[in-house]
Amino acid sequence: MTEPDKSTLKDRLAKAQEARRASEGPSEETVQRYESISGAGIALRLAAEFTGATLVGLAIGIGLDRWFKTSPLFLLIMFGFGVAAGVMSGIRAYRNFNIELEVQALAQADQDEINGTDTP
Amino acid sequence: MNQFFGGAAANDPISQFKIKSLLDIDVAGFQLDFTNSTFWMVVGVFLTLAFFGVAASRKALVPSRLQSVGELGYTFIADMIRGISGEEGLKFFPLVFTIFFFILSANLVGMLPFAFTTTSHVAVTATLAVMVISIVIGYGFYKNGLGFLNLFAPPLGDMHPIAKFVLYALLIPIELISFLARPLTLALRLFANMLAGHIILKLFAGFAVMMASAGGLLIFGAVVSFLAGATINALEFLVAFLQAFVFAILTVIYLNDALHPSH
Repeated sequence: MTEPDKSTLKDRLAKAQEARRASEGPSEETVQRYESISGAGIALRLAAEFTGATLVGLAIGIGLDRWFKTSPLFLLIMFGFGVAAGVMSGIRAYRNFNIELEVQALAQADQDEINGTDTP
Repeated sequence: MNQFFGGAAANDPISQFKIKSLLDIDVAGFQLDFTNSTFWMVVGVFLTLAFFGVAASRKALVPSRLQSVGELGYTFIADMIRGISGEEGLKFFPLVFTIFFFILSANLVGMLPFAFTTTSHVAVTATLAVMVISIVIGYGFYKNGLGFLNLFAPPLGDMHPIAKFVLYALLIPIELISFLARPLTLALRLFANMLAGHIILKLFAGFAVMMASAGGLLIFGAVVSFLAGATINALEFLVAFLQAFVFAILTVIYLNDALHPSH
């Protein structure tokens, strides 16, 4: 056993968050701007990912049932897999937002540069 | 002339999406009509070509405003690809650039009064989505061979064989379904956003006209409805850009799977 860390969890959390903010990743300001514009858009997209995967799972289940004449066995199984896939692609989509934020921040920087050179 | 511009005077919000044939073409039993959708698609493509033609014509060291916008579009897409899949992904630059500006021009042309929004039809967006996914699958197998299938069975590392078997029995169907759902969500997202936005616009405009013609106190309602419609209109311009951006960036993310199938 190593010596337990004396600092409280709260302190360590704050320190970790500080370090994370300092490293790469979108600034808080960028995140706020993005979220204020399209919070509904993000919600809509996560919902679409979830619904899409569930529907695909259901469709595969119905197809397999028709093929093997085992209704409703595969429908139930693939529905479960579809929901699981929906949750997973939702999580992936959320991770992709970080990438999008960075790309948008880059574009914003480019635009600022152009605007800066345009106005003497 | 009215057939070019959809049912401009119609009051119900759906008739604006009606496809009308402008020129009947029949090739070997296939109906290949030149429709109002085709017409506005061609307008969008020509506007894009004209824009980049003018923007790239001067090649000045100190760019004009138009040239800066053109260069911004170029660096925007190039940075996006480089950021997600590195220099290797740049071989797909022409594809992503084309997709982005095709959708952007279609969305923006659709914002013109009386114009037809081609991206509000699932046939158009589904074609684009299926094309993207076909390229991902085709290129994935071409570059990685059967190694592309690693996409559906991520390496698990050291593990008991039985545990590995159970995990794969759960993981592979899940990965397969989430892969198959990609073209669906890609197509539906763009289609649904454009459709819903244009229906809402039409509804608010219709309310304003109806309440104004009813007169009396409803005039205030007409003013509120008109202001709401104008606000939504501004939002729609943002949506037009954002949806093109989302489609393009998801294309790059999916293509990245074909370049590097192991997560």
